[in-house]
Amino acid sequence: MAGKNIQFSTGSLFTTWLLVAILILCLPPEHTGKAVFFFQKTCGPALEWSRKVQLSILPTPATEQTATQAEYDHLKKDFNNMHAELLQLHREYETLTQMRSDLPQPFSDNLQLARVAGSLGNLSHKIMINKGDDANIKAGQYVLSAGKNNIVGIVEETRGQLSRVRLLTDAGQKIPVQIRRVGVAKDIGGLMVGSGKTTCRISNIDVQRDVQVGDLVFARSHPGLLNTPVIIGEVSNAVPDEKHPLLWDITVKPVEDLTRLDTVAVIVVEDF
Amino acid sequence: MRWLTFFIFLLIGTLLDAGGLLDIFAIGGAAVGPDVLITLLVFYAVTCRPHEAISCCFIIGIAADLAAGVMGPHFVCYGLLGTMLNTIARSMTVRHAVQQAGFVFAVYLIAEIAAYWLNLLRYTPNPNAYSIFLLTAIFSAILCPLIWSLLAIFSGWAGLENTGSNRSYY
Repeated sequence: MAGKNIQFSTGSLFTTWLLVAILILCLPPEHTGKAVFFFQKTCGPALEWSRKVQLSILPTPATEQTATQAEYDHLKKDFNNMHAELLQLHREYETLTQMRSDLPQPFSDNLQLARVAGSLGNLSHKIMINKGDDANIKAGQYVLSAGKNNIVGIVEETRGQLSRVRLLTDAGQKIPVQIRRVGVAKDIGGLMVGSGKTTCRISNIDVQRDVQVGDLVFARSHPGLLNTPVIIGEVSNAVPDEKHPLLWDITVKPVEDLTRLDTVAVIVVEDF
Repeated sequence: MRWLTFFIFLLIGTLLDAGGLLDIFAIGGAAVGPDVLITLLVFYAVTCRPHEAISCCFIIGIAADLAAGVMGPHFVCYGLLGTMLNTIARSMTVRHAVQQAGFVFAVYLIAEIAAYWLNLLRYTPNPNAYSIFLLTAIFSAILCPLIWSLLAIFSGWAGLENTGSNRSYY
């Protein structure tokens, strides 16, 4: 009875809401992130359904000719990954013959397949996948496309049966890479960042280094996380940086269309 | 105003924004679609009485944060802007589709840029943020009259009255 008589003035109502909003804004993301995961979990089926509808409505290159092209691309990606693995093996064989070699493990042994449960907003390039802590997925682990051919992102946060993956194209994504060319034994290392659109960028590479359109970009191997370099995409544009003419401004086009991901595979590392 | 219907509209809007279903209208590879929640914000801000408008706007801000995956920025910005819009709308009529679209365009740009700046306190800037905001604002403004009409049709059911003109609520 007494509760019904409580009346807030407009000013006090506004102030109360505003204070709550500021409080939530100031709380660490680890705490407020629970609400996002709860929403994604609760509305998961609806979000997944809308994503499927979206993918089914969006035009797909499904002509006979493009199917052949897709098969060719698939084999090309396989070849590039195997070539990268071969180079790595060769280097290890030459330099570590007396030591126990940390040979690249087949990814299939420790892959965790997951479905894309939804995406997060227009601005960030992040997706939610339907596997999390429960499947031994942890932040920092690499995520491959369903064909196990190329890296599409890195796990950012996990909780229960969900994980948030930051895609390569997200503006906050930074990943160490190597630029290679088939038939040339030289690697050019760099740091790739997402552009916030459909491509990525690599800067801080001297223009003296030989970089050409069509060169392949691989995620650099990382002990424990990624045993061999895995392809990410290819150089689609390389011009001297406008602000720093002595450095390249390299645009990288990912192998996979990251807006159309449906199933992904996380490289799970037990001791990570 | 009936809160149950508000929450139904809010749930639909949040699912549409979070699920990316409206990205089917996106142009090229931009992956930018219209925003439904902003129309909901403007609609409730200009049609509700102040008490209800304030609560509605802050709640829509929470929903926008859930859809975006980061809690806080939209909560603050939508609440502040919605309250301001409610104050402005007391002295003017929002009747025509062009006015509605104009409000949605302006409010979206201001709210999202402010929320983006708040986000920068923690996250890396996106070099294409402003072009994405502009495209989304245009998309949202184009789609706004349609959503507004639907909301207006159900407005009697929702407890709002005469949504095309000044507030005359009950």
